[in-house]
Amino acid sequence: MKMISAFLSKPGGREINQDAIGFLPAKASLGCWVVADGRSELAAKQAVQEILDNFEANPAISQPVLVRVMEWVQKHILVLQATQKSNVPLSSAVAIICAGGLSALWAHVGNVRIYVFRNGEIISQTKDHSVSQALVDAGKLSPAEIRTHEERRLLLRSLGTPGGMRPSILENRFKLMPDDLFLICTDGFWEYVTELEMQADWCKSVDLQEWLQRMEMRILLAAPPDHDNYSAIALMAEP
Amino acid sequence: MVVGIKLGGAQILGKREEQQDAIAFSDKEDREFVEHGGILAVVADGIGGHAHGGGASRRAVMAFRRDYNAKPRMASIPDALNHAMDQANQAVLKFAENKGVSDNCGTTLIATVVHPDSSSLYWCGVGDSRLYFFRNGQIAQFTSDANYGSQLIKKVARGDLSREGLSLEGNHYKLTSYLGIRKLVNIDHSIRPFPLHEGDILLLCTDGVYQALTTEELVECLLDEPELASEKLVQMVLKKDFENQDNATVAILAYGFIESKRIVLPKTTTINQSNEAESKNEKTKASPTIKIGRSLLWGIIAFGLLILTVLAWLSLKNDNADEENKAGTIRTPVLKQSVEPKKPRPNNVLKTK
Repeated sequence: MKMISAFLSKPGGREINQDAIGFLPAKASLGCWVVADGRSELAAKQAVQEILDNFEANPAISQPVLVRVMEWVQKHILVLQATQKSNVPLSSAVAIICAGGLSALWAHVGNVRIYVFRNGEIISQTKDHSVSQALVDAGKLSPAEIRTHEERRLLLRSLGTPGGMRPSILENRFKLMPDDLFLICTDGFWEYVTELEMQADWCKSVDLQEWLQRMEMRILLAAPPDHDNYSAIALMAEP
Repeated sequence: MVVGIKLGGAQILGKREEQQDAIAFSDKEDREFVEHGGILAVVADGIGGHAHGGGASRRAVMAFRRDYNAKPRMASIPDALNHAMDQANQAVLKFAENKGVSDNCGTTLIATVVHPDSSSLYWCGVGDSRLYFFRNGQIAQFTSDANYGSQLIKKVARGDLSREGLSLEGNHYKLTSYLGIRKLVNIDHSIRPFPLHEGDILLLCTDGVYQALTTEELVECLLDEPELASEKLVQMVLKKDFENQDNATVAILAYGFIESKRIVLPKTTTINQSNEAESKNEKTKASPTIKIGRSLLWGIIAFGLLILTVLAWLSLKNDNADEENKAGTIRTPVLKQSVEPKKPRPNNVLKTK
């Protein structure tokens, strides 16, 4: 299966874009796609770069490999954090998809989300590592209420936080089917685009780029002027 | 289990003198057509600032429905919707020409098709009449408005306009596309099916509705059965009593009330094969059962009366009530579910099915 992708990353109503996206290789047989939402611009870029560098060195769709990559990146960022002179925080929420051939595997930490669509339906969605999600798990909040809950950005886990990484990694490889669709997006994106809207906009879109553009329109219509950075990668398995 | 669809529709004049909105549904009982063409709902809003807005919307809706109803079995639903949209546009252009108001006559239009066999939704729209979708307490606007505001947002996305600049611009609601222009652009249409779940509800409406009500108010009304929900929506618009309230029209399709929840009677007669008679099937099938039930009932009542007479004659009056109750427990099948009595509608409310 060949993976095709489209992406966007914008500062929104902020001066600095503290989101970062990256992917490799363009060769398509096996690839890695990363979206990060950092506490600083450097944090997000660092996380994406480190993950891609490591994937390049260990290109495999394997849970142990993904675990090792995440652990190595965590260690490296903590070392950087300790040695850097400034107080710029280097923690980030991150989501990664490794895919190619007939399978995919993904991991995330924090509140960057991965949605998986098949035949127009959402068949999988990652759970945020946030206080709001914990309230949902406790039955005190509905999933839809996360979008407006005041503690949605209060993360319980993130890359670059000492002792607080603990990524969620898919246990088994996901078997790809033709036209399977993935959306990796930061909270500045999913806060203003509901799951139903994601599905509806895909129904109207000729390709991945148009899909992202339609969803971006929703963000710009709904978000206040000082809204958060927003970033997303759309990914599709082509037969 | 057959998933059924319930429809509802209503419209009000608001504070306008003329009804310039129009609404139509296809025949949901035409099973042969529904099998490949699904169930169509269309709502249009004639442009008030232009001439003959009411005539334009009515012609658009009629032409759209007529063309869609002629959909060849093998044609895809998106193709048939696009074709119908073109035909509706031609109808409005011709109407405008006949009225001598070419280039000054138009209407918005939103159309949806629910295809029960594949549990799919399709839509197409032009202008600013909208399709809302309701599932599990969440509502989403599926269509984007073809207006100047949307164009400005695209400029913001491209980086050609700042958010501050956006708020300084006027004419956000001015339409950039509608039926009645030579070259239709910005048609909002699905090119893939949207998968439906039981309990999903679609709301098609004109701007007279969504400009008057909040999304929370829309949701509040949509929780009811479509007929009642449409009535409640337009009544809620009226209640707001906005100065210069526009015509307001709603069409609602509820997917997934379950046929098996209706009382289905055993097949005891030959079923009428005519498609037209499908809607009457329940009655056709029900008749013999009803006759059997009634005969039995009358027999038991007669028997009960006989017993009662004997008992009365024996001065055992206390047993009478018991015997009557026994007779009363024999129930005949009920063909219709109970319906709440309808409230009288004000004169300016038109009920559409």
